[in-house]
Amino acid sequence: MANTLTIVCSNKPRNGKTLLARMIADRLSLTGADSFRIFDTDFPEGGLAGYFPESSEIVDLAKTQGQVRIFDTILAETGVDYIIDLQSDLLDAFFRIFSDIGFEHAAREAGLNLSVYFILDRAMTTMQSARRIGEMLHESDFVLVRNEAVGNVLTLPEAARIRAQIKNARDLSMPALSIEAANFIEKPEFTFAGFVARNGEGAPLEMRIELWNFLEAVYNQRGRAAEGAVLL
Amino acid sequence: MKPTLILVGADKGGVGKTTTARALLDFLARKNILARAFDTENPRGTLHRFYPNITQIIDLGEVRDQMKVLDTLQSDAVKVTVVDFKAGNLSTALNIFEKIGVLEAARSGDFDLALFHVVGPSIASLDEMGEVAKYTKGMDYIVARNFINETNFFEWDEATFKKYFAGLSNAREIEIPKLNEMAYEQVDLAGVTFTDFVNNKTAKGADANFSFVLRGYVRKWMNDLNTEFEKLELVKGLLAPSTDSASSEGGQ
Repeated sequence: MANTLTIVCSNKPRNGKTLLARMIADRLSLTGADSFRIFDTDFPEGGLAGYFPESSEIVDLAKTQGQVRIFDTILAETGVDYIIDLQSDLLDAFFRIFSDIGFEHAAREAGLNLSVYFILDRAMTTMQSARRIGEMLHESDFVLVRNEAVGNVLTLPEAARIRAQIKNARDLSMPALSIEAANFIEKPEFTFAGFVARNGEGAPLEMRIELWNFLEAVYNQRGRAAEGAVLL
Repeated sequence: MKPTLILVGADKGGVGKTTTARALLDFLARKNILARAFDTENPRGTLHRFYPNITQIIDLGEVRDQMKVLDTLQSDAVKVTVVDFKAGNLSTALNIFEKIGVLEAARSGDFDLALFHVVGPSIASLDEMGEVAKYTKGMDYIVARNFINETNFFEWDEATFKKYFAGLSNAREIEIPKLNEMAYEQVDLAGVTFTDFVNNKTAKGADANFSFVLRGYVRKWMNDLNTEFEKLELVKGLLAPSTDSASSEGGQ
């Protein structure tokens, strides 16, 4: 099976990027991926890296060395799945380089299936940003993620109109979690893979049900899209 | 095809003159236009390092070396000649060329003559354009604004530049875009042409192991440069299939 490269991004911080990236990484663990590597661009602290210290590398993408580290490594060291957690203030710079150096095509040539998850928020700028990124993607699975915890821009008619113009994207919806559940999964020792493997053990019943529903909602949407296509 | 002599110069060092000459030779090679080069950076020769097969190092102050360039313009099978003037030597070199009749020969149509004047954002650099202007009658005078090493594009004050530029009646303008510093260094270190770097080849033609990212930066830069060069009448003339129409623009 082809290996994957998943880029998780948004135009603003705190839109649920790291949460989605964690779910994708955990999904890779659950489906038995031998190994995956994470490039966390939240330099120098790292966000996602805190949850997957052994698989993660925190990279300063603002430096050329960091760009070389990410893009060259992905093309040279194949046979592994990759996740890039892209810091929001690097969004445009990252995709400009991505496009300028012809990375998308090279990655496809190297046998990687690319997915770009873009998390929308409630402001119009998010749609304009998404459209800009979409225009740079030609061989990737482009997913617009509506995170119900941060609101829904698509209720604005102008946003819905722009959404309709982005022809190469599909949609994914992330349900909102209760504060208790959100806090529960924030804990550094929590993993969705562990939660699933232990059948939700350790969580109060109500939260267990909420988290199951949440996971099912997200993973099932991903699963449907993946049939015969780009994903896992 | 009429011979074409292309001079590349700057009165100030460190403005990217040799890089421009390299970029130009690279461009010509990509377009399958044979060229030969003379490097006046005697005795070291940066240009010679990158193009050893087509570059001779000369001392323009020596009559013997002037002859190597000028007396062979018509006879050499390679019709395009690029001369990289030593840094800080532009006015002097043009003065020599004026004295020995090179500029006059070009004006009377013996060959096409072009000058790439590489300028940086400093006022000193812009002042040179005025000094050089007295020599540029009858040649393609191209002001190449160099952004290659600039970390900050805004160092260029557009209003000031336009003021200087407007004073030159026959000048054309191109921009040498910025190239990522690390990419530039790596090409330099490898001692290969920009094209070879992009194609991941060593100077000897073997497979190299250059970074994909850095090659990508150079490829993008070369594409941007192509666009800049192709704007020039001089280049359009060189690329034109007809052999007799390579004279400079606007003629009756």
